[in-house]
Amino acid sequence: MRIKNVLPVLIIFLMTLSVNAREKLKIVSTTSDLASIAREIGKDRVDIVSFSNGTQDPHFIEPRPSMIMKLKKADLVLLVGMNFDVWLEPLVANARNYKIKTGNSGYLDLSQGIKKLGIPQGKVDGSSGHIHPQGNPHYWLDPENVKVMANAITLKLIELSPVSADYFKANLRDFSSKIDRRIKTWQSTLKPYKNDKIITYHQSWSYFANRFNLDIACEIEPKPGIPPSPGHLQKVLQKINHNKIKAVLMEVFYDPGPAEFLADSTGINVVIVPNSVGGTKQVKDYFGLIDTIVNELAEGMK
Amino acid sequence: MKIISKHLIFVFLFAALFLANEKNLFSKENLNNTSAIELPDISLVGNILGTFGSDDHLKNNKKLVVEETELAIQGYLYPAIRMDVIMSLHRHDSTYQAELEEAYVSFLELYLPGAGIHIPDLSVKAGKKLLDIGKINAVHPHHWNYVTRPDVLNSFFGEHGLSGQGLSFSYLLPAPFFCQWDIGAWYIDSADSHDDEEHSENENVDGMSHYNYLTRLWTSFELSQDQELETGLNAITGYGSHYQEHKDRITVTGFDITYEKFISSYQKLFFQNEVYMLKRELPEGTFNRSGFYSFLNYRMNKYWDCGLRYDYVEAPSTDTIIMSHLSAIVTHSLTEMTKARIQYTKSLRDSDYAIYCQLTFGTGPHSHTLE
Repeated sequence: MRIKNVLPVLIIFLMTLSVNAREKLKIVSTTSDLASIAREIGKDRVDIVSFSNGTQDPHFIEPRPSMIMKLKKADLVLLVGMNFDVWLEPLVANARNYKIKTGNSGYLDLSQGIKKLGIPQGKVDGSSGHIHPQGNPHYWLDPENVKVMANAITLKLIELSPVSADYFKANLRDFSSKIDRRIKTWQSTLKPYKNDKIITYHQSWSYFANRFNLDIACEIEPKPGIPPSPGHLQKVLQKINHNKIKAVLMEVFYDPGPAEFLADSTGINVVIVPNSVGGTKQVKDYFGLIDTIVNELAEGMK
Repeated sequence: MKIISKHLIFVFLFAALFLANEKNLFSKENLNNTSAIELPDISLVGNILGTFGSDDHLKNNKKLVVEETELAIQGYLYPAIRMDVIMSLHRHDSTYQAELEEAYVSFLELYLPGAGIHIPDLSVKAGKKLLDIGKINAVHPHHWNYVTRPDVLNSFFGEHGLSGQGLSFSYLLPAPFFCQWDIGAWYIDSADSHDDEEHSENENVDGMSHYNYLTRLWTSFELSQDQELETGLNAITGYGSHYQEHKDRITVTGFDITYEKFISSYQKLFFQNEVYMLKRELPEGTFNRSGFYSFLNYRMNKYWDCGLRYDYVEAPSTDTIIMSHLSAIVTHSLTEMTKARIQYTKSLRDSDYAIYCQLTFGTGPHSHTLE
């Protein structure tokens, strides 16, 4: 008798669970940064999977068949664009999910609406190194750009789930005001180093340097994606000595050897930081990412 | 492989070079919106190979030759329909022959507007292509982690792999993990694997011809965020590459298993195995042969790979000939498509050895189907 009474309640409970599960939008992002931003907007009404975890060089993610299944079930795919995540294309092609194909409702290239830096002039080929024809794609490292990205994600989520429009808009307002406050803090931390020169390993810090008024004197790589030769390191070394540069800023996944050589030769500080959420265990969201970069760079510039 | 007019290839090459040099096409505006110019992806890949070995019958022994150049023209025709055309200039007996390696159209989902037919999980490929059997047959040599084709594929499928003209269907099964079932019907010209010229010289190589039917069940499991395990069950049945002469029917069954462990951003452990059983039915009787390869590769960093491959195969000839080789491979990657590689291969049944030095190079947006 008791089972008979409990059964309808259990069925209704399970049905409610399944309806709630269905209501959640399934999002796949190519990077953990995009996932972090989307999570701020969608919160508990989205399920997000990222194909890279922040410790990997996102230029070199290898497509795997298991990724196809995640894309097949996705309502929305978020990508950096600008030829940064070109490895996504064969996966989308094989996912048999019409929604997420280029230009369809479930496809969002977040580089749209971003003021792009580093668009190459003239012919683009291998002589320029690993260059992106549409410009430098590391735009998420400027928090002002992240506001533009969050806005685009919000509009897309509203389009896909209009019933949650107010919820997403409220989350966007919270996120934008929080990031505005944090931008002031980050700017104030780096204010003493305004217009100071730094060295970076790869051309990935242009947007960050632009936002925080830092001057990138040169890169350790002679050209994007090309490892430094001893001759090039000598030129960098002279530049460090001539300009009294205090810090090398580089990502966690690059070879620290050349930067350590420069540090041994000149005493320059090597600041190794993640450039994506999850790049170190402490960096769990976008705010943590920029906090880490800003604080460690400020320490290195002293 | 069927030879098409050299003149036609040169027209294609000329057209590709003309398009690539057309200033207006690569203006800043167009680079930012390449779709506006409706230009397909055009790429060129080359393979330079130096060979030094103890066996005088080794192909191009003690020579450095351009083994192959490949021109690929690829792009979308319609939202879920893409084309891949791959032509090559291929070295044969000290001359270069133009070949149509692949030319096929992929319907990424079966959708016939107006007919009310839409099966999103079913894709169709039609045309000429390298057959999707196992992990390596459909992959072009410049994408391999080694120089030479594994012995078992060489012996059972021909020295240029199994390539045919026909149709295949791929269905993504409704499973919680990746599970794709392929079936196809292919007509294989024996000339496609160049067996006509080579058969008399090499009895260890057979291959297939005429109508063949292929099926493959491909599964993949994400063991963790940094580990993947792929398996495949394969079967093909049809006729031998010299059916007119031998009246032989061939059935090859096999399985493949691949494990990948992504250790760090660039470090990766890769372990791949393919096992095949061949049944050859001749008027004078039936015989069974088997073979496999096992390949272990460790990517040390962004630039360096080292690997070991063990090959074992019983040749598909009437005499029982067993071959086994051990190969050590070191690869230096300059870019994704430009690599320098050295392979040392030692026969485990006699004293023969071979050293291969390879440089593969490429430019342009080049892609192959998911491997």
